[in-house]
Amino acid sequence: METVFTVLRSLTLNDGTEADRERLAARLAEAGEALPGVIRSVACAMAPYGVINAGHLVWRLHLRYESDHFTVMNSVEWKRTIAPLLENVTLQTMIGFHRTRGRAESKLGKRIWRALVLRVENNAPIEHVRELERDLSLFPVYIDAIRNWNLSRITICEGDKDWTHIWEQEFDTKEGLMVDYMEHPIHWGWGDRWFDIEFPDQIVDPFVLQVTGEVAGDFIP
Amino acid sequence: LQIFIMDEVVIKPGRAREFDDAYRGGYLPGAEQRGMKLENAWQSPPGFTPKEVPTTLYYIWSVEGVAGWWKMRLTRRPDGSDSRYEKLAWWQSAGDMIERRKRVMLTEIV
Repeated sequence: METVFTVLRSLTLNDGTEADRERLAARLAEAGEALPGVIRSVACAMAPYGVINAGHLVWRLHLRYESDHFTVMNSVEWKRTIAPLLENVTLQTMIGFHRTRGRAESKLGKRIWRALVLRVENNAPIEHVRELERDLSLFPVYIDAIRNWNLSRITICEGDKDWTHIWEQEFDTKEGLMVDYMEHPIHWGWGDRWFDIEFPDQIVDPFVLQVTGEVAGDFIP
Repeated sequence: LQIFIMDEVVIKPGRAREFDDAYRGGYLPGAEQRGMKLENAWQSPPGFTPKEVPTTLYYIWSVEGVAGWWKMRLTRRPDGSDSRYEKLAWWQSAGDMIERRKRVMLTEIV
């Protein structure tokens, strides 16, 4: 597996229509390709379902190394092409993470991408954090609808929370996410105990960011 | 599919009755509003409540299917308020009586 460092931004337009969101997503995806060190630049507007505390669109840059993020931010190209696009846009969240465990084998056509960005509470015992990660990694074993997936610890972050993890998946259809995933017992009967405030096991901050969009191409690298 | 939710609560010595009263008076009404049905409640040691050692209480709830589970789980109300914090507040208020506890989801053996 090649090294990939992803920088993902959740963005909100200060004004504008749904069409403007789509347009900005397309322009960021295109302009991002020309930034130094960028392997791939992709973006999507948020779907009308499967979102929690989300902005209007998500833009992600795939880089080789974390240090490339700082090269991008200091580049002439960023100032010339990206900064003007973001003038009337609020950055809700930015996270950066290495690809650690996951699967990105199926190069699918149009599909549904969903990411849950979460914060494990500061006082969570490290063995519980590992168990949470183990449990989430089991989801793709039991939920066939998960085609590609990635679970990473976040290393750089800006926004509402000190986000610690991103848990992202790709599905062929909306039903894959909303039915196969949401209704599988590994979700409600097993993994959810780390999230539900009523469980003594709960270690995930109840304020999560969930983003979902219709995508194509290399969304999970 | 019937889904069961079991609370296994180890109560500090001599406080089992107090906890059970609080659970039924303070937790149960909200749980019933979320579609949870209390099926059974048991204690151990059985038949008497010693003051010298902890008593463990077992509460078994049921919800109807995955839809019932989500009704129990989702906390945002139509008016924008969130019952999550009421659940948390109740468990925190009872924390003084509890030595430790577990909650598990159960189904029949498949």
